[in-house]
Amino acid sequence: MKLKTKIASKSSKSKPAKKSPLPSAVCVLSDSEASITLDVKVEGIESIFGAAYLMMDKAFVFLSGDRAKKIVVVLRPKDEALPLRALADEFLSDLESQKVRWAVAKNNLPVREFIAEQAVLIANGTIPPPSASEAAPEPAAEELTADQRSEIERLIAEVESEIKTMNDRKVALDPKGIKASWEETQEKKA
Amino acid sequence: MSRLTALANGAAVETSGLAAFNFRDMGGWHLLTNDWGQFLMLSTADFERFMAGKVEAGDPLYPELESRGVMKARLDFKQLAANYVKKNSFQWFPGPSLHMIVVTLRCNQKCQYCHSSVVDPSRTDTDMDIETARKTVDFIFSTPNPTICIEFQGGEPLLNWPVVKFITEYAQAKAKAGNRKLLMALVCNFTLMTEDKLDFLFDHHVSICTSLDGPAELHNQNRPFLGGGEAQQKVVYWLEKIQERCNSDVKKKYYLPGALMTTTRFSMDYGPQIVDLYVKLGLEQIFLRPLSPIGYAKRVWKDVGYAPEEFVRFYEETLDYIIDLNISGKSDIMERMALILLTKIVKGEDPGFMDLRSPAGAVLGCLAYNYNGEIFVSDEGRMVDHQGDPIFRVGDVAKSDWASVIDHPTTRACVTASTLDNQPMCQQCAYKPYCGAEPVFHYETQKSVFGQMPTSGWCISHMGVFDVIFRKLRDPRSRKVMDKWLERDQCRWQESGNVPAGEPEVVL
Repeated sequence: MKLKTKIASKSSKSKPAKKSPLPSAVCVLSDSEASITLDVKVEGIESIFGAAYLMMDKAFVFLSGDRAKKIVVVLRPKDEALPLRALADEFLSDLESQKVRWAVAKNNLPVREFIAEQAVLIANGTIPPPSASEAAPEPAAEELTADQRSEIERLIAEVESEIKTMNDRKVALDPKGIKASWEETQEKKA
Repeated sequence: MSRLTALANGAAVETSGLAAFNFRDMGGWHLLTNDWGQFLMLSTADFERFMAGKVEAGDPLYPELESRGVMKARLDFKQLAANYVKKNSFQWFPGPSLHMIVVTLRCNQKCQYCHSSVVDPSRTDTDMDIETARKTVDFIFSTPNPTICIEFQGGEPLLNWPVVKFITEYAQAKAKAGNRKLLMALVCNFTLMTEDKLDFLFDHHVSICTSLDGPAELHNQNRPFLGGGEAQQKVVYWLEKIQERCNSDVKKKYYLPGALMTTTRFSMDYGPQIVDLYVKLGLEQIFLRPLSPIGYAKRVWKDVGYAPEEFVRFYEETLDYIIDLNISGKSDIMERMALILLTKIVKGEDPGFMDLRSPAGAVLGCLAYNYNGEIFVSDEGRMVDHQGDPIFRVGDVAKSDWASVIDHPTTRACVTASTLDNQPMCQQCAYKPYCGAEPVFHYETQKSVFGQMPTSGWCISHMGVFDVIFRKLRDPRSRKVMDKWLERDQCRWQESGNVPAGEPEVVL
């Protein structure tokens, strides 16, 4: 998918390309804006979007290009006194951090989902909370263990089966009873 | 560097061993937090070693990293899940616990900032009538949270005293019949308080809170009477009187009145004087609250408002003053915003503060009821309506049921917009486990319930306040004071679904 193109024209006084700290980034500074071309496969689309978003307090940010290949990020400072080079450096620095933040987030997605599920099970009483007397935990593997993975799969299968067997349209639309009034929750308990 | 902060240029990073966490460069040290509410303060040198994957078993730092859930190979899933349950306790209670009823729009004060959208005392057409009051209470009791807190607001609620009395008695009868836990609170300006009213409030266990912006010259400038006259003296008179009665009866000690201050541009030079007044009056806490550009305050922002950075500076300077008073033994007054954040950060608990939740308190934690029975996602949402925009209206007590309110498109939008994992900047912020985004604030200031965090005044002021609190936590002198506050704290707000041990319950 191509993004809407809105690129500022470059001034005739464009400065020569600046070598950026990132291998794929090519940065061009004009009189009024910094234009940074990035290889999406190297930088990651989420990281580029993330770094661009963070610049919005200091610059107007325009993105163009092909989100599968190359993205051009144009930064136009909101405060004309802000040096373009500093603006471009800040973007590139944030881009580098964005890559780390996104890598950590992606690596840990299954773990976060698993812990969130455990929290729901503890909160609704399905499993007990850990007691103080419980032994120190065994070291976890780098990835989920086979047991943990099978537990997740079992839970997913349980939910899927629950959804399939729901015939009551009301229940299907509100499986957790969020829309139930106080009286309905009491009737159910009774 | 963006406000989110970034890694040092050229920093070595080995991501494979890192568990899920967010980090923040605090200048000389780094803060790390995770979804489960744990935090860790590392020197920059240690942070860089950790990020480079150079902290291994046997390293003195290793046990701390392990215990804080940032080492992927050493995660205690069950304990982290239990932390998450405790931290987000509000998520496990169905429906709102806080119900704010505006019994009248009339008010006898003309506050500079009043975002309560008031009208002249002669406008009795903006009083809630008994039938609407009954329907409002019936609606409140149809919502599914086992704990209900009804808060009277206005306008000045004492101008419609008969309805305050009716709602109190009717709600208490319903609570008794339905075996529901009920808390009641009155927010008023004290200028119309009488001994008879006070007797009724005590007899019915209604807690009382007022507004006190500071010394007379400041308070009377911020909150003048209609037609002139001085309001501050009346507030002080009744605060002292109610305190005297509470202190003379052990059963009433839980009902010591609270006071709230709102920071305007005029307050900025008065930090120590405001604190001194609260100390002199024997108030246990002061709440340094920023003004929000919502409703009427938005119209007059250029006269009474300020930049979020200015508020953060005021907050830090005034908090420093309060901490110094504690250290010197001159006072043990506590600052409430700090207590709310410390309860989240240090105790890993939810203090029931609607503004700093993910998702926000709108509908899920609170509802506001206008004098005419209209239901809003929050009191701020009602104020927007008063300025002519009904976008945050989600029902009417005469026509709506709970299912239609929770299922309302506006409810869904507010929940989605205020879930921090949906916010591009918030999801990576070190303050995510303790923070929240307010859809009404962002709609009013940025024309979007989602807002745009890099330019959001909400984000700038809250991030600044979090910075202040974490810096204080790293300083052993202020940490000692804050730990004492937490020990003494009755910080869990009444509107919380979890009524803490010692919190007064209405005995019927």
